[in-house]
Amino acid sequence: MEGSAKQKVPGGKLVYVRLSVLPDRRIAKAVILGDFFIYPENAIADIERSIAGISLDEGEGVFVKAIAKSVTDDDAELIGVTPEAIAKVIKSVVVT
Amino acid sequence: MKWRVMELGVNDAFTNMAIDEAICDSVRDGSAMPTIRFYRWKPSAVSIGCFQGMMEEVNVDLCKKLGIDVIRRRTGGGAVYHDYNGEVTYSVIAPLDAFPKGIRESYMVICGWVINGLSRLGINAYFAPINDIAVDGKKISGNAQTRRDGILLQHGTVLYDLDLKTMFSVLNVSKEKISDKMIKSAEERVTKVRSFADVPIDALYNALLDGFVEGKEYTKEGLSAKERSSAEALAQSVYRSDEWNFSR
Repeated sequence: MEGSAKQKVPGGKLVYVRLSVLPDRRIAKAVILGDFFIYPENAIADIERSIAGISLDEGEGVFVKAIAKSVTDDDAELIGVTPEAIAKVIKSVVVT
Repeated sequence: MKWRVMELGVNDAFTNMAIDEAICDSVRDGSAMPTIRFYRWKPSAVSIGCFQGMMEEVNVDLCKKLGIDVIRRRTGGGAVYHDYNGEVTYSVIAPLDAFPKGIRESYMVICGWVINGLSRLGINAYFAPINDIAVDGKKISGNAQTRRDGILLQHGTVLYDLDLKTMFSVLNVSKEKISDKMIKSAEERVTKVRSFADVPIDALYNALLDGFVEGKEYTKEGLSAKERSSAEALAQSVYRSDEWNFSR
C-alpha cells in the first residue's frame, strides 16, 4: 500500500512524505521531500530509516521520538522543519 | 583573510554546480583561497533543493522541449528557475570558521553582502529569514547553504528580471494556477532589480561585486587547472547523471 501527504510548516517550509506501507500497516519505506534544510544533508536517510517498521496506527508522539532520536544521533540540525512537523504529515497520509 | 574573487562567468547548470563542489574541495585542502564567485546559467535551468523530488517539482518534459537543463543542488531549499536573462548567481565558499557558528547568523552575514550590493543600485533590501532577501515585502533573492567537512558553501540568486510565464510552466504548479490571478499573486510576492533600477545586468553584477568585496582583501583569479579538471569530472559523473538528479 502507498500514500503521500504534504503540509507547509507554519513559519517554515513544505514537507511532503511518501510512504510504502506493509499489509499490517507498518511503514516499509518513507521518503521525506521538501524545501527545508538539514545539516548534514545525509542525515535525511537516517531519519527516513528511523520511521521504517513503525505502524501507521501509532500516535504522532512515537514518530516524533524516532525522528528526534535520529536527529540527535547524527548531531543534525533542521531548519524550516521539525520532527513534530514531519510526524504530523506522516499521520495525515492515507494509504490505499 | 584573503579572498579569491571569480568574475561573472557563464556555464551550463552541471558545470556551475560542479565548479562549486570543486572549489569546496580545493578550499578544504588548502590549495585555494576562500572564494566568492559570480555566474549565470546558459542554457537557462531549473535547480531543485537536495531534498526535493524532481518529478514533483519540475515539468521535466517541457524543460527538455525548451532546452532548459534540470539539476539537483547539493543545498536544500526550493526549486528555482534560473533564467539566463533574469538573474545573477553568487557562491561563497570558505572555511566554516570564517563565519558565525550559527546557520542563521552565517546566512545573515553573506546575505548582508548581497544587501550591500543592492544598496549601490538604490535598492533598500533586507534579510527575510529563513533564507530570503526582500524589498518592500517581496522576495528579490533566494539563498541556500551547506556545510561539509569544515567548509561552508552558500549560493544564491538575485532576480534581475522575471519571466513568470516560463517560470510557472517549468515548475510544477497545477495548470489551473497558471492563470492571470496566479501571476498577479506571484508579482505581489516576488520582485526584481529592474523594478527599481533601469540598469543592464552587468550593472547588477558590478554592484554585487562591490557589495561583496567591501572591506575584504582579495584578488581576482579564475579556476586552477586542477579545479577545472575536477569540475569537468564532477559534472560528468554526478551533476549530469540521472542517478543524482532523479535520486528523489
